[in-house]
Amino acid sequence: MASKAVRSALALAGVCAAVGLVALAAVRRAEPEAAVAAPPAAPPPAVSRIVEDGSRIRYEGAEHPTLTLPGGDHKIVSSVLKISRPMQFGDFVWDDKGVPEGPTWVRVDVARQLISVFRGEHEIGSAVILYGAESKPTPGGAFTVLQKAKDYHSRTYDAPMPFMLRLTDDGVAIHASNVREGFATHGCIGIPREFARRLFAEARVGDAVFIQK
Amino acid sequence: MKFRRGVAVVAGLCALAWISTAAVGRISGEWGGEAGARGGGAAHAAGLSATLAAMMRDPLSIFAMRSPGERGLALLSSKPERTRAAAAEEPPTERVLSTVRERPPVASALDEFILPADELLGGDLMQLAALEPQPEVVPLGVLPPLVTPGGGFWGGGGDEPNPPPSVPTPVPEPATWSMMLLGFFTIGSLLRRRTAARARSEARSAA
Repeated sequence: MASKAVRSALALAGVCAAVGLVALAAVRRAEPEAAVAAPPAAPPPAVSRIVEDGSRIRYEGAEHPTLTLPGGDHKIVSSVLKISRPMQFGDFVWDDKGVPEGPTWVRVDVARQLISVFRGEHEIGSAVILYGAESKPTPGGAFTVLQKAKDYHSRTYDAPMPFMLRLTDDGVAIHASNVREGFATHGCIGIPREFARRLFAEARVGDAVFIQK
Repeated sequence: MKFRRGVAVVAGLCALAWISTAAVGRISGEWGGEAGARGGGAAHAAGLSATLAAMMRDPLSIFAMRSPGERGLALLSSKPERTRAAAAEEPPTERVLSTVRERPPVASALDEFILPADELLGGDLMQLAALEPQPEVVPLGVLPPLVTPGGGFWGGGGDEPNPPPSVPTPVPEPATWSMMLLGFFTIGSLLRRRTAARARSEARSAA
């Protein structure tokens, strides 16, 4: 009787201790997160005012950020599109409302899987891209649009490549394709079809295309 | 009785310990958070907006925010390139019966037949032979790389767009026949066994 009572008491104590330990561990775990949530103080901004209006983030004032591009080029950026969440494959944004005329140029960011179309200093379009597989990588550098073809059909791959903007003589181009996750091209830049249609209308032969690896 | 009291005391102590732990956890979790939100709230928000502003100052970090991330290593597929040879020199369209002609046994038999006859009869049979479906003579003269029954042309590229189809022989071979007969016998024997077993069980149940 006595030993049974002792045993049950010990068991109860063990259970309580286990519960206490779990609670303590939960508390310990919760604490560092609270510590992480406090951000480190950022260096004070040295540039101009940033204004968000509707679909755009504008840089106003004297100094505008510049983008350093492959080939040693620098481009001033006055506004970019406001896309607050990560885009999905096949998504794109095109907004050239109120953007004045200017030279069109394109920046392809291979690592971030993005393309940005600029008119002058303003970004007017952005989309998720497909790029070359490891075996056939997309070349980086500064290119110009060599040729435009609305209904192009690749002989090498026996595949339709609508709204094709050729960049190199050996066949690297920007063209419409089915942009899905997990797929790659043979060196081309694949963009959603509707985006490709707009880019095709926007770009002219000789326009600059920068591919950032 | 004494032990029962001891049990109660231990249980009470444990409960106290547990409640106090939970309370401490709540205090450090919620109250600490509240204090941070009340006391250091302004600094906190300022810090956040400062980092946000610093991020927004750089277009690259804006691009990073909208990026789907870096590409993974596993790719599902991509369309294979047509082999350069296949793209450059398409097989001529006249060779309709090419697959029939490429059958090696027929070719060797024709060779054996034609060569002595050619030696014997001369020019007339040469013309006839040109009309015959000769695998070795006709295409070899015109297109050297096309006819190699071993598949040298198609095997050249890494990925074959359309490998030559195998032509089924009109008459089944003995092995095929024997396999089919064996199958029929197996099915038949199984059916017989099943009906026999059923008849037996019915007879047993009737008896």
